[in-house]
Amino acid sequence: MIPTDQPPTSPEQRRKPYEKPTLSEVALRPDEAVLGNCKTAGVGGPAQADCTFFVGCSSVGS
Amino acid sequence: MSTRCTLDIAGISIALSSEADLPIEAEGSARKFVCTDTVPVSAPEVRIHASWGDPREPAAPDLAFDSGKGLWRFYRTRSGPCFAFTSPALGPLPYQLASFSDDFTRGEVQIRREIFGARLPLYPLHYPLDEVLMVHLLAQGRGVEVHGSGVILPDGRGILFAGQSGAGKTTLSRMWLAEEGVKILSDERIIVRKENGCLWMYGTPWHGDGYIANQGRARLSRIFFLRHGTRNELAPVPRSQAVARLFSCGFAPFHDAAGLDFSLQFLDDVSQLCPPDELRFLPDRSALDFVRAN
Repeated sequence: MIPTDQPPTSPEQRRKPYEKPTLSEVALRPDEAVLGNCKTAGVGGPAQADCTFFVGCSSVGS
Repeated sequence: MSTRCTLDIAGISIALSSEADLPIEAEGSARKFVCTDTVPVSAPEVRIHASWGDPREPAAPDLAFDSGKGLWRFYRTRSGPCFAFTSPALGPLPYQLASFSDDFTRGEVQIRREIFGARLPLYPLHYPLDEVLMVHLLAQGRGVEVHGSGVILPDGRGILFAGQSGAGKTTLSRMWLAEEGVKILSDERIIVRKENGCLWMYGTPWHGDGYIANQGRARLSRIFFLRHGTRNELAPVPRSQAVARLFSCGFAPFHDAAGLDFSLQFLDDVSQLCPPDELRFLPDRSALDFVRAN
């Protein structure tokens, strides 16, 4: 007779209980992801109206 | 004035050269990444030559990616990959065109003299070309650039705080500035690379609102996804979520399947070697003590 209160030993018996798949969303911000703008001026391009043209700024769009 | 300049960004040496009538030098934070004579670079990994020209947009069918706001576009032309740069303030013609070999290690930059001629010396890789190029170089098997701030604690531990805009990167970086013995690599962009099975984080020239951008590297000890909180606490992040969140904070060439594959695999390795946690933090000094203890 096999005792029923023993821990499972075969791989099938040790299988994890089923967990229903879940979907979680991770936001990707396109403007930030493609280096498409300037953070300081808030617009694209190195020649924004409110910053000096080509002054060595590397203020990335984040 | 010089026609040569070599940069070292994240251990990748980039040698710039130019025609005699186009003097060049690094600008802004990139100056901190210039190789000095005391550290000679014998064989630069990347070589780029700059000259005056009449850069024109390549043919429309070759367009592979558009950054979306008229700032830069990526083309796959018969002669190789090519970036065209325009600005609403400078008219419809590209002010610069950068053509590369397929592996991005050899390049030619054509610059419009009418726009830049009175602004010499010139930095041929001025933003966004420098960063766009780096993203493509990294995706060729070298690493991944992450939207995050990075600090090196006095004991040498490298901590990466990843997060999109508004997560608190600059807030934390400014607080770390006041801490003795702490070096901040960047308040905005960190490059992560793997060397002999270990992860290293590197400073970059691309700063955020804190204008913090420094040369240097450290072994990556901890990764935190930043979130403003009502108290300092850590929340575990399942590995699948960790990869997705790292990817959302990373930079990859979205037009390049192989580059995307590499980036995802690399971030999976990162999440395995250095499992990230979410750091919910208070914007005061207690957060720094909490990070040190964790």
